[in-house]
Amino acid sequence: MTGLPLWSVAFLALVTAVLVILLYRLKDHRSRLVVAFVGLWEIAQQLGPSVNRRERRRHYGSVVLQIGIAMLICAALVTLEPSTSDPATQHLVVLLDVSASMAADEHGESRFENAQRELIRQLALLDETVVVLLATTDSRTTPTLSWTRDHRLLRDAILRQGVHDRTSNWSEGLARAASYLRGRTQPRLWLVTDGTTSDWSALQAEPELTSIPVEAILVGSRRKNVGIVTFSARAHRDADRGLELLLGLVNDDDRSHDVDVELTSHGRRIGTEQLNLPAGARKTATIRGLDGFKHVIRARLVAQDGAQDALPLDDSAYAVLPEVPQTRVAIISAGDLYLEAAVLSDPSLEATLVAPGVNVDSKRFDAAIYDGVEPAVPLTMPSFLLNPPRDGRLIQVSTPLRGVGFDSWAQKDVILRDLDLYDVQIDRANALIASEKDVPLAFAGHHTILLRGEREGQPIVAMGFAPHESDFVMRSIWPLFVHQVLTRLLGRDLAEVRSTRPGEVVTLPVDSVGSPIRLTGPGGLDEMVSSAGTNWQFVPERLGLYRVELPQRQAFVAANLGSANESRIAPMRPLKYAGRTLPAPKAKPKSSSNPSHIALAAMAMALLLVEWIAFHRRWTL
Amino acid sequence: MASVVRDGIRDPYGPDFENKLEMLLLLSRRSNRSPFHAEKLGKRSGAGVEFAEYRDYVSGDDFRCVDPYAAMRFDRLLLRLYEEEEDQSVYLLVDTSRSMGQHAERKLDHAKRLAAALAYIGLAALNRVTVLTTSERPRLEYPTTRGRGQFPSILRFLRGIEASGATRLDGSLRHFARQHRRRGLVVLLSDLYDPEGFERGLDAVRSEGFEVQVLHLVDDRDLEPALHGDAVIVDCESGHEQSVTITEGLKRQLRVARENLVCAASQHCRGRGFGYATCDVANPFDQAIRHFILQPGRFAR
Repeated sequence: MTGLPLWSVAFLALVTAVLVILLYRLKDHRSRLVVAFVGLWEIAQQLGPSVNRRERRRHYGSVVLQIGIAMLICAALVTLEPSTSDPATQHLVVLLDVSASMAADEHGESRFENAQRELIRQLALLDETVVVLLATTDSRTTPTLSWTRDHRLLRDAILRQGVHDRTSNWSEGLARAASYLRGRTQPRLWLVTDGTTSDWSALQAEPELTSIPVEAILVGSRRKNVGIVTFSARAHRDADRGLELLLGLVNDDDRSHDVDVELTSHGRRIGTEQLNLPAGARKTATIRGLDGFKHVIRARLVAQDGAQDALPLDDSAYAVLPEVPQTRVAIISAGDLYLEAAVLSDPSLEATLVAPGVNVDSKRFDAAIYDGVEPAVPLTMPSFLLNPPRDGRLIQVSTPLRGVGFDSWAQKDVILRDLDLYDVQIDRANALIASEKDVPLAFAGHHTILLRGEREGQPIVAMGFAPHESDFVMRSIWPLFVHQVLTRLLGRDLAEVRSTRPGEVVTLPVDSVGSPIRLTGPGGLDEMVSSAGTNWQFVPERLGLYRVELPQRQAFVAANLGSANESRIAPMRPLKYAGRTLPAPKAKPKSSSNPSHIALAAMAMALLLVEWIAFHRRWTL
Repeated sequence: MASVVRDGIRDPYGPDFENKLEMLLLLSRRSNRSPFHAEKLGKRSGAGVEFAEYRDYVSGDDFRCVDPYAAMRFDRLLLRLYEEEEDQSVYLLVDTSRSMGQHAERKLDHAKRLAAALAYIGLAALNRVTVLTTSERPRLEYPTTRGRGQFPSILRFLRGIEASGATRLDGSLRHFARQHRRRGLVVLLSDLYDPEGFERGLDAVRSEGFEVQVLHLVDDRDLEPALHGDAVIVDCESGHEQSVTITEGLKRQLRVARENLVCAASQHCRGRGFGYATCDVANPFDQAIRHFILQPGRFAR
């Protein structure tokens, strides 16, 4: 029933009581009038009705009026709006987008600052029947202020928020909003966002929101942005090429841009690459022949025309080189040059070609790659199964697929991190049927085409197509993909996360429980912690390079924005969700069914004036 | 008539005061009823021309006063006695208690004007005029004087009177009666706001052989309080306080109370043979004097 905290109501009631007592005491204070002869007045009073009775009636009436005034004042201060369970109450969830794209500059002011201002303005137009829950959303959705009508609290909460270096996840955000509104009377949803095309164009409808009014406060109009979406590095066997960098870029503008990619390693410049990005293009660049690098390489985009794009957050990224020991790999294949080339080019792999049907000695090899075949005997080592046969025992194969690609994939998985698979074309593939314990990693439509799991006691990764049946092998990311598959199979670097996104949990193995750990990072982060177990976790909140110093070693973790969706900042106008255009919020006419605070206070003051005139009358007439 | 301030001194008389006095004097001389005829027949027997009474001759009396016709008729020696004419004394008692000083001394100023007018007429009629102030006791006194030439002094005396002290008419009048042996006309100018009453005092004066006239000063401003609502009224003389709620009804009752007071005073005075008149301070003073001259002892405003 109350919109004020209990202590506020109690304090105001106390003040009201003090005022009433003060008024009553003032009323008791009578003005003095000097008269010529009091005896005349005594005679006069004796002539009329009993003054005492009249006095008492007046005082009792005055007390009643004072009590009425106090009650009206309390009613004016204590909101008499319907409670949250009252059918007249509207429940409004506000999802405030705090993802990285909201930091985009809009002619001197960020999108987020625009959003704050507009949201505060819109909230001020709401009437007292609306209670609001404010939540921020990026990669996760967090309630900030629970159901309240207090616009001052809402305003303060909104102004306390800031943009995070995280990507958005509107599927989760909308699902959370639906859960907040579940069972509430007259639910409404406001989305405060820049509504980028990349975020909203493929968003699936949340079933619980289909009957709920969804409105959008949209900010942002600029679309000029060039950003890094993926950045990875690996050492190459070929000494002439040394380091190979794979850089995924996106140009969201409607004109091309020429950029310089400045490459540094631990503060030392190791190279510059000039690239041209066509309008609206997404491009992967491979940079080779660099040397002078150490553990970490940083890439920074600089526009050749010197112009600053709208979102500087994605203009730099870090790549961390792993330290991987030598791995012995058996390739069981009838012959696939691309597969061989990918394996052979990795300096950390010792590859041996084995003819199909020949048993592979587990003492000689650490892992095996089966290309289109299965071993006749049970698996004896971790295996990568390429294009498993239809009649195989290890992987069940179902629907044949033609002309597909990687529609979605597990970007966080060790196998697929730092890989941009969006434009891989697959001519022929077979859908894989994942068993109960398998983990599907990539899909063509809803068909699994990449999974990992365990067979016959050995970890396996299965891919539903042959490398040569796609242009995957033509991509510069193909060797890295194979490398990461093997890394996963062998369990190496499994817990050694090299890159991540802000907001995602990073787990690092430590040597022993209680090991002292020093964590440094962007924004002056420098703290000493100790591990509670053999794994230590932290969550990078900001973009940049994090350094973890353990007793026996040190590790680097790169937190990159790494999201094409966040780099594509062009707003979708009008914003469409689940087939409907989201309108701007409309202010509802103020409800006339509930007494206004001002009216109650005015009634109280009028009654006080009446009581003052009728019973007090201190003025000289 | 409002008072005028000249050279820092309040002048209660006004610009046309002396002209009005002259007219009143003329009126007094023409009226047979005026109480200010200077030569009045006294109570004592003396060398007058008016026959008073017979008395038996005793050794030592003047033989020339024996009435021969009365001796032949009554066959004994009888003396013929005559009334002796004497001057009238006029005592003007002005109430100068604080109640008379309320509302910018309207009542006191009116009393001064009345007293001045009466003094002028009395002096012009060759009366002996004495002016006294009375509050808790007779405090100030302008000594008995005769002749119109003393009038300016009396004016100055009256002008300098200020309201102070409480009203104690009973004690003041008794004290006056004891202090002044020469009988005459006593004119009391007062608002009669005495919590102990004025009746016994006047009776005491009358019993000493004085002729009493009461000019009861009334001011409607006493019935029109400046406040409305809850108030504490304070008696200007005693300081007695009382809580009241001032309403229109109470104001009406105040007016009735004063009417009752006036009526009671009038009844008492008439019952004792005193002259009584109410003088509203809002009315010109000469109007009251005119009534006093023409109809002394009649209820007049």
